[in-house]
Order: sequence, then structure tokens, then C-alpha cells
Amino acid sequence: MIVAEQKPLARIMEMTADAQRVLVLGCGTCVTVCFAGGEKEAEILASSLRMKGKLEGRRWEVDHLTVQRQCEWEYLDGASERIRQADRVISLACGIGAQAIVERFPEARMVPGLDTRFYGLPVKHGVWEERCAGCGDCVLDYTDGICPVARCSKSLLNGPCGGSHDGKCEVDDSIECAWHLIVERMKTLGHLERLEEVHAPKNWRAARDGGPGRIVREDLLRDRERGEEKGETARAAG
Amino acid sequence: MQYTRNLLDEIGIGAERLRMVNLSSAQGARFAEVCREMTEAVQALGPSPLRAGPAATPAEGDDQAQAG
Repeated sequence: MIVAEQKPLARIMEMTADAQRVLVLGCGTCVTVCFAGGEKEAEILASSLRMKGKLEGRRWEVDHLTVQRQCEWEYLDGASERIRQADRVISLACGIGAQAIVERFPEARMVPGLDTRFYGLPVKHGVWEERCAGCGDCVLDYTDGICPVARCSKSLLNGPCGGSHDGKCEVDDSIECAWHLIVERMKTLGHLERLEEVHAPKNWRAARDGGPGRIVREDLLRDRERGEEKGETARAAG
Repeated sequence: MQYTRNLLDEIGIGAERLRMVNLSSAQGARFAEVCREMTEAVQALGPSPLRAGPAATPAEGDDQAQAG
């Protein structure tokens, strides 16, 4: 899931220095399960801001609300009235949800309450590790399910570098060498020779290197929109 | 607990105003001792800065008391 961390309270205070009616908007999906921006966190942040604001002599109102997801219009619309009433919205969603607010409500002044960190999973309660780089050209079948793009510090695709030692990455001892993990797994599964397979170069255009992504599923478009999408595609191609 | 103490420091109220003690219902004397210690500690710290803070309307004040 998307894993994020809340920004320091002092920073959030800075971002809202001139605001008088603040809405802390939480999100019920990814940021809830990484304990960064859910209902609880939204309520605690709103309360903390009120208290700190009082100590600093701020005259403002801080309220909170949580929606199921901020990244889909239908869910965000449920908060439309409260968003419009506020002169600053602190989004506790990931960067996607935060941006969705200004896209849907252009008059809204939104500030991000979180730093979106990575796609990852909780290896144990309270510890999240990055697992996916969203590179758009998945090679997990070549590497027996361990991602060299996200888990190798250098995103190498052909095997470990010379810095791999005792299964650890030279960048930091706490980082496991992804290629060490891959090789060990291939040995366990009895097909280490797969390491010698030659594959076509990876298509990096599907990742950040290719610029902002866009996917259109023709089969999911409503009839009325299908023509519009075709028009757009033709214009982009032409 | 530690999380809330850190939060109180960040807000500016002070972590030392919050403490957790483990007791059993049979430890009456220890309970009294802990209460005495905590009361002395809090009195030494003075009123909560939220009360002593910049002037607020009565309504806001009540809201803070409930929130704090």
C-alpha cells in the first residue's frame, strides 16, 4: 500500500500561519493502515493544532473530518461543504488525494499534512518497508518474486554489485541486498541457471522516466465518454 | 503513552505532565504515594499553559478544557 508519514507539527503550523478556518481532512484507506492520516490521526492533529495554536496566540478554528478515500471524486464530494467552508484544508491523504482536493475544488487552499514515502508493506507492526517502485514493467517473474528495482539501492537488473556483503547492501547495513535474496531464492527453488537468462532491455518509459502516466480502459468508459477519449487519443497521436 | 508524551512536548504543554504507573488494587499505600508525588510535580510545574495562555473567549476556553 502507499505508506506515508505525518509532517512535523511545527511545519504544519507554518503552512497554516495565516488561516482562520482550518479543516483537517483524513483518509480512510492507505494512510489509515499506516497510522499516518486516518480518522484517529485527523482528530489528534486537529486537537494538537488547537492546543498549540492557543499557546501561540492564534485565533482560528480547527475542525476535522475523514472520508473513505480522497482520491476518488465520489468519496471526496461527501466533504464538499466542509471543504468550501474552510480557508485551508490540511490533507492527510497521500499526494494523490491531496491533489484531488484542488482538482475537484479549485477554490480550495490545500496544504499537505503528510509526506508520501513509498509503496510498501508492514513487515511487522510498526515497521514498513518499500517493496514496489511502480516501474510499470514488472520483472518479478524473472526474479522469483523479489523486486530488484525497489529493493536494490541501485535498481540493478543483472545481479549484485561488488558492494554486496553478508547479504547486506553497501549503502546501509540495514538494507538487505535484493540480489542476494534473489540468488538465494533461486538456489532454494533449484533453478539458479535462470540468472543467466537474457531478457530484452527493460522499458523504463513506463516509469517516472516516461513522464506523467495515463491509462485509458476503453472497455470501462461510459458510451458518452468513449467518443471524447477517441478524439483525445487521435489528437495526441496526430 | 510515549507517543502522547512526545505529542505534549511538540504542542508545548510538556511531557512531564503525563505519567503512567502500574499498580494493583491491593497497593493502597503506593497509590497514595504516587498521587502525592504527581500532585507535587504538577504543582511545581504550575498551571497548564493552556489555561495561562493568551486571552480566549469563554466558549473557546471550555472547548480547550474538553480537548485537553
